[in-house]
Amino acid sequence: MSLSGARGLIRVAHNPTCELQAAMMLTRVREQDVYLALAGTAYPGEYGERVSARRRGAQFEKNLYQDGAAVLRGTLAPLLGVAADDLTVRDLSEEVRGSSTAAMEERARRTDRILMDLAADRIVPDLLIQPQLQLTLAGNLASAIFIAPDVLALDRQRHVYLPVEIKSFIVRDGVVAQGDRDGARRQAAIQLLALAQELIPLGIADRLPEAAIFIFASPFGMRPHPAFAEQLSAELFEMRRVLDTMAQVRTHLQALGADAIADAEALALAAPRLATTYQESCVAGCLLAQICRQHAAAQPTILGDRAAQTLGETIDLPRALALLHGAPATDEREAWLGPALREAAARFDWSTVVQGRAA
Amino acid sequence: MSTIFDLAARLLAYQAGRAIPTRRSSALMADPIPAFAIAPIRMVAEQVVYALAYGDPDDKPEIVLTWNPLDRDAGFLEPFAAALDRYLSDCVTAGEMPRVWLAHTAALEVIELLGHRYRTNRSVGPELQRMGAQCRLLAEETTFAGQQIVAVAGSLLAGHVATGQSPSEDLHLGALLAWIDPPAGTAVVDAAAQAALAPAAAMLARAADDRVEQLRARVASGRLREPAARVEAEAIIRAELLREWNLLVQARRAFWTLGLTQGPELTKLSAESFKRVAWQIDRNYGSPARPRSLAQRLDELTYAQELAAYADVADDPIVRATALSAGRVLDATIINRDQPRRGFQPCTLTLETCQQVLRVRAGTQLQLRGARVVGRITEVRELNAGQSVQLTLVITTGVRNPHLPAPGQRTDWMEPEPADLRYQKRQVYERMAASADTRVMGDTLPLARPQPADDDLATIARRLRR
Ligand code: SF4
Repeated sequence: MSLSGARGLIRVAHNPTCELQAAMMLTRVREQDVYLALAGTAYPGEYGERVSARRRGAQFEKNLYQDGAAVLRGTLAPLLGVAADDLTVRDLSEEVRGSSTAAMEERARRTDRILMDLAADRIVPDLLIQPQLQLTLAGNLASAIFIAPDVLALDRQRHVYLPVEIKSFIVRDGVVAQGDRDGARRQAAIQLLALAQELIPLGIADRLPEAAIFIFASPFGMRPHPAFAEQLSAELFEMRRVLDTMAQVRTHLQALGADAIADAEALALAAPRLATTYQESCVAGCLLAQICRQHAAAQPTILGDRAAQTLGETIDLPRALALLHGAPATDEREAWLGPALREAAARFDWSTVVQGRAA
Repeated sequence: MSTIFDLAARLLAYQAGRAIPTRRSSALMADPIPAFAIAPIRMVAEQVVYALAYGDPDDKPEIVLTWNPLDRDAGFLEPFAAALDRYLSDCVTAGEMPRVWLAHTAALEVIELLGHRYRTNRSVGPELQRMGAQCRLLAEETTFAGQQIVAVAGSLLAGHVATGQSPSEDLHLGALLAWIDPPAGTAVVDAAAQAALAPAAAMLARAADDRVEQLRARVASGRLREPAARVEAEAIIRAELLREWNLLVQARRAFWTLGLTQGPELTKLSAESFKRVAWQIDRNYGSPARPRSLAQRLDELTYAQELAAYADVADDPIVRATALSAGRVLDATIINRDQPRRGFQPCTLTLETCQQVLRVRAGTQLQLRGARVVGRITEVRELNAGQSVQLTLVITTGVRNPHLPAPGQRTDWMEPEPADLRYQKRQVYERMAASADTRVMGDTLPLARPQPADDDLATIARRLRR
């Protein structure tokens, strides 16, 4: 599972201070290979998208795109303020099939031409299915990654395209599960950044709002929930920060002479010199979580982000326990923390522990 | 739980290498006999049900399953619909509180979706529509604080113990159980990490999921005959379902073996829960959408929240100690009782406390913990240069109560049991609905009256005061 593309950037957004993760993204080394190189055994858990999830996503999209994108047009028409029958469509996934680099490059060329037509006020399709954009990371052209919005939809008034993010997640009572929504918003923000990068040389980036359109599923089969648009200012800020992180890590890798790393063993060798900042989000997000957790053995972060924030960088778990048991404070933070912990611990008789054994 | 309390508890659990209880009383009333447990398995992403194991958690489960939920034939759910209806209806008819156990919030999500999909679905029969309505009812019940009908084992355990891992890791029921009952011969951290490798989210394990997908794809492409594929797929799903069922049974057992006490206030919470469910069991209500029903729902939720908070403080010494340190409970000694006629008003108590944080002022109402003795603070005086505080409390309810404290007695005072004003509020909403005031019932606000442009703020304020 390589961390390239939008997925990798989203991962970096969750933990922007982790250089190892950013390096995996920049070097495009597969996460499970890095795990193997670091742990000496294959990753024992599951990783990557399940076949069932992929199938559902693919079917949901297919349902939207088939018959001249009839369902897609019907879903987007109210939002775009154009009758569904009047929306024109180009489906680049039909024009150029496949997921090879050559196919992606060809779709990217065609997308470029359409964007140039847009800038030159020539007629362009209202809906562009499976366009291909490119996003330059760390200011380095060679590092450009393909970003593929599901659809670009033309806002005829602004005369600019907006990314449309399609997810087969279910909307219940008008509400999308927080995690699903956050992921989709971040993904759309990356697409906006990529689109903006493409529009800047064409002189029309200022037309682009900080918003994207979302299509999720209803609880009933493949039927889509009504499309909606959302402002993404916060996610754009976050993703711009991710791009800054990538630039810093590239510089760091160069300083280490490790910028040409292309395999997991080499990255594992460089790993001790790359900062890792284990935190709660690592548990659900990164294959290396258990390895980093072991390295963080006595750090407050293993008790969670809240514990880490309270204890700060100077007090590790043994020290916190010592304070709890009455060790004298050595600074102001400890002078506040010790009595607070002791008072809290006194509230429950912790000798009556849940049945079990100490490890 | 406050940040410091949570940190202290996690530190101690980390040191002990096992979970420690963070409450002494249970927030859940004892199970009725029998309870009803549901362990679902859903298809990832589609969120449709593959299988359900259900029944008495102390017994072997009944099982319904389909190997291909995508064919939209929901008939396989009918035995489950009948069993759920029988259980809930029997309890309600007998005036007994039902109890439905689920392993985790993922299982609750599946139940909620069954409600969404079938409650009003005309392509299924009335039995499945009723199942949908009852599933929605159960899911909705979980939005009320202190509810006693639906027990979500993972959330319950996390609310009663602290582990030496992070809250995110606690979300995996297997990992949480490893901390509660660490296996012999393995470090608890390793046991938790090992447990977390298998999903605990009402879904098939990865290999099982991929295999079932593959079987379906091969049947669809004509490379495999359906009967053979079905037998293999059903065996896989059944085994995975039993894994989820066992996790639920283990979590339920772990909860009851925490050995927590049952506080008296749980009875009130149970009565509230029972009333809500009994009222709706035969009604197929949707979520409130109109101003009146939304306002009523908000009142219900608020009252449930207040009652649950009250019950927690009243019943649990650890929660009470936390409230005390936040100044929301008063620990005071009775200095004087001024009651000219025993058993009659007026009755004034003088209390003294050395408590550091105190959130009382003149006008604050307080109730003596564990008794119907309520009073109002009329005066707060600092003594000994702020070392202690003396309070005057005029008793408004309970002057005849045998628990009315006497001088020298050490007492706990807390916020009184919340007043139940739902009936009165409903009457207000009825009046408002009848008057059809557009400010409440309309979709648009009436136009504002234009203000004279040359008004300054002082003029406006004067006019408002008139
Ligand atoms: S688990 Fe380790 S490598 Fe992965 S994001 Fe966290 S700190 Fe970085």
